[in-house]
Amino acid sequence: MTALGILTQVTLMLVGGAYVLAVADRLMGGSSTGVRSALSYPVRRLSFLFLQPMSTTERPDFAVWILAPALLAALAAVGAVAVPIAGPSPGGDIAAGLVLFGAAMLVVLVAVFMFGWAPNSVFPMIGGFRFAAMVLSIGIPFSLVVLTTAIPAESLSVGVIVEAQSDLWFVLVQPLGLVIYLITAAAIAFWGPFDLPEGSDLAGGIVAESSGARLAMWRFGRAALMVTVSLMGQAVFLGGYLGPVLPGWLWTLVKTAVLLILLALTGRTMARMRIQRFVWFGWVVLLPLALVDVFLSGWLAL
Amino acid sequence: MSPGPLSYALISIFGIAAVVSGWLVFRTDSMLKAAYWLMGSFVAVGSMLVVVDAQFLGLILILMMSGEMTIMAIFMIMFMMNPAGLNPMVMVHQHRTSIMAGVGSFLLLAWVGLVAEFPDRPAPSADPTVGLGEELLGRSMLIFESAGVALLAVMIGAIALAAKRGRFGDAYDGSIEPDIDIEVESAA
Amino acid sequence: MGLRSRLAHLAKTGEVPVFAVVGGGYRSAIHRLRLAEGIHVVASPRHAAVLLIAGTLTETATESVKHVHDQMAGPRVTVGWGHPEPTVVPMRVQVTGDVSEVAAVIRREFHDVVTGAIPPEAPLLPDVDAVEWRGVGPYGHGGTGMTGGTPYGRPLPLRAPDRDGLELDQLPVAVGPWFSGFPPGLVLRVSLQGDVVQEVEVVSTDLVAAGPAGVFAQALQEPRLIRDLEMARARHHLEWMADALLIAGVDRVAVRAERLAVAIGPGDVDPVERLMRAVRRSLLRPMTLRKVGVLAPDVQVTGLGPVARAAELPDDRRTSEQGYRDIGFRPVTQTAGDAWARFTQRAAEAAQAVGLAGRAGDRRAFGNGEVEAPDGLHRVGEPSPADTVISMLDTILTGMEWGDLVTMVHSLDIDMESVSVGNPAV
Repeated sequence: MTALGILTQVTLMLVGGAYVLAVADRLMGGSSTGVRSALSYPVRRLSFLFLQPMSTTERPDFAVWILAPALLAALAAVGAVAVPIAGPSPGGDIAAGLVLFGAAMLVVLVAVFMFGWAPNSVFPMIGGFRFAAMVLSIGIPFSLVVLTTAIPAESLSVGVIVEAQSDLWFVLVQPLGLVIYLITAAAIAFWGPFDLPEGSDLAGGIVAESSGARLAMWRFGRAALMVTVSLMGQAVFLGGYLGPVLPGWLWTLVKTAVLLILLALTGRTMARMRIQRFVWFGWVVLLPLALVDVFLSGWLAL
Repeated sequence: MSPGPLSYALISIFGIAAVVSGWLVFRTDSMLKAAYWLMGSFVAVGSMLVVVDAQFLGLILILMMSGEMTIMAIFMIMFMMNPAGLNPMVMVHQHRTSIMAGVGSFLLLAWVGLVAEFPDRPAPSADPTVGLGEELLGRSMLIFESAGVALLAVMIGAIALAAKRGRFGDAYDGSIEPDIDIEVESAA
Repeated sequence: MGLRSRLAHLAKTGEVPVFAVVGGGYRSAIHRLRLAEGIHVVASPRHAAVLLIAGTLTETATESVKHVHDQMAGPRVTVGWGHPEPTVVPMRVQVTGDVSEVAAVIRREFHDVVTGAIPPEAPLLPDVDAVEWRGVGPYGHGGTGMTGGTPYGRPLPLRAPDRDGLELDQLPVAVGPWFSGFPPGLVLRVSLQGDVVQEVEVVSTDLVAAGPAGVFAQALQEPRLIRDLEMARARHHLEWMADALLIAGVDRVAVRAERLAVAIGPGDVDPVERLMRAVRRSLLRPMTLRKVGVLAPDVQVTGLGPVARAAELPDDRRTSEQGYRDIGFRPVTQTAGDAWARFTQRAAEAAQAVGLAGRAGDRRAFGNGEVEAPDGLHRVGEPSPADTVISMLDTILTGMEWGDLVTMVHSLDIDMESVSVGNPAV
């Protein structure tokens, strides 16, 4: 696949997935919107956002404030590049695709923290602090469960991991891994019960001072991040492009949509976890469970 | 396999980027930008490693540095709570000593890099990750196993720190130091 | 059509982001506005296109409302709802009708300002720095130590010990008066270390004027129907629950609570029970509210209504009213005394109130100078429950993390209209 082809594929995937997520989130919101108005909601909202100017605060850091949303979207794209969408890549896959994905997801911390720091305002700053505490708490479980799928496949390349699931999907071998993955992935994409940086107890948190194109870019970046983590989740746990009748890329789309909608269901129906509770949960519950998952996976592979 | 001109070009670009962003760490007037210029320098070094086909090492370097630079930035802000550099500050002390030390060590390392004879020991296998694994569990097992035990101890310590009981009470209660009333007895 | 007009064409029929400044007497009305179609009440003025000023505000509110107006980005328009002269800021249009009328006006004004039919409002305050630059040398360098003078007129933050004994910097910040997590008009000056609040000072509370007397204020003077009192109590608690759910991020169940507050009738206990089941399913207790905001044993909570009863004090003036005793009223209490206990207490009282309203018939109660309002006991000539709570805030909020502080302030249900006025405005 040429570089341009990969870029097009990834862009289409992220934009389409962001649209699906926006519509699903709107339908879950509980207000009396029909399906038709929910389908046009993202377009209308983006149009209004592009009509607004980008607001300024007193002495913000302009360069960082505009760089952070771009960085977020770019990291989502980098993470998505590691996943083969349509089938085995003819020229071979990225040899360390899982590590590329893990690195991209953990650099999200830098993007979100910068975005909270740049406006020179209290609520975005607190949102940035919270996200730093969150990622430091679940970074290790996140990386561990993603790496446990590499153990039975004996490779860090995502293409090889997908091919190794031709007999049995990994979610059936280690279901604990998918559960921990979904929780930590939703936390890195600060979604649902984990949207602490953007919480309503901070009047919007890191986006409280943003408007206009900057806000639109940030929202897109966050939705693209959700799509990327769903894409990787279905590749390493649900068998990627493997499937009986339909072509490979369609299976990928269906499985990604399944994970994406599953995560979207938690968006407005679960309460936000307190930051102390989250830190405790990450270290005291998720980390030991992730270690157990690693041991189980290694024992099953040997 | 010998590297082509594209690899040389990329290594040069990333190398220059690493040095320049390292220099910018000391030129900027805001703490957070200093931390992230340093991270930029590490990202450039990691990219150089990826170009020379040590992908695992390069990407792991970038992965670790994102968390570490953010922790550094948080510590800076904790002790100098200063959003967006509202109080711009000079980040360097003892200009002359540090410039001399920096230039001196750069020259020393450059001389070592150019003059020393590096051993010719090709990696055990073509896939760098497999080669890394064989090294970790072969020749260097003692080093990495002790480091692994130390890391496990750190993880257990972090779990203990995140537990609910603080120094002055339950974490839910805010764990605030109790007031100590010192009774002064006057000689009656 | 240019790009701008194309975007305007798409945006004009979309959802209107509204920032609501809630004054006296319009708290319930804003809850009903959240249910209106095509209106989205946002938490930050930067995301809003329409500034809705509802209810009566005092003169001291002028400055802050002007700030909020100027913080709104993009095409903005101000709509006033239901308050007489003098107006606080210039408004394009004033509405005195009900929710559907103001929703239609808001949609129309948004449509006009987005398409450019009316010019967007200019800023009200001059765009100058709040404090002048007073550093020494370039970037303030060249003064004493690492920085020079006081750049931007702000001194370096002082250090203070935190709960682990470290000497960390503190950031003094004034939050309010229109912060979405606080009752309208409350301004708290907090000293933050990270996201932990080390000092709290209540700065001002007199931005919201008292609205027209509601049924509980009238009950101070003459006996009112128990049915009216209890239905008002149920609606108040349901609206409070909707706000709590919004703060906790459970938007879907919050909308259900708002709808129930509008649609509930005497005797409808089942819908309240179903709502509580949905709340339990959202894991509100383990995620957000468990063990948050437990008051110290030496804090006086008598007379604070549900707050006292959630801490196992069966303190309810309704037990001394004959009308209530006839229909078998018993005070409901909870044991834990934390924010979850206050939530379940208000839900249980809402269900109980609806049941009482169904059984009350034509009985009347109160009328002799005291009334058990939804936020506590009101007596003529004595401080209201809101006064008591506000005097306690600087001690009970110290040391809390910010999210817990917002949850705590909300769980105390401070009625800003009754502060230092002495009358409930439900």
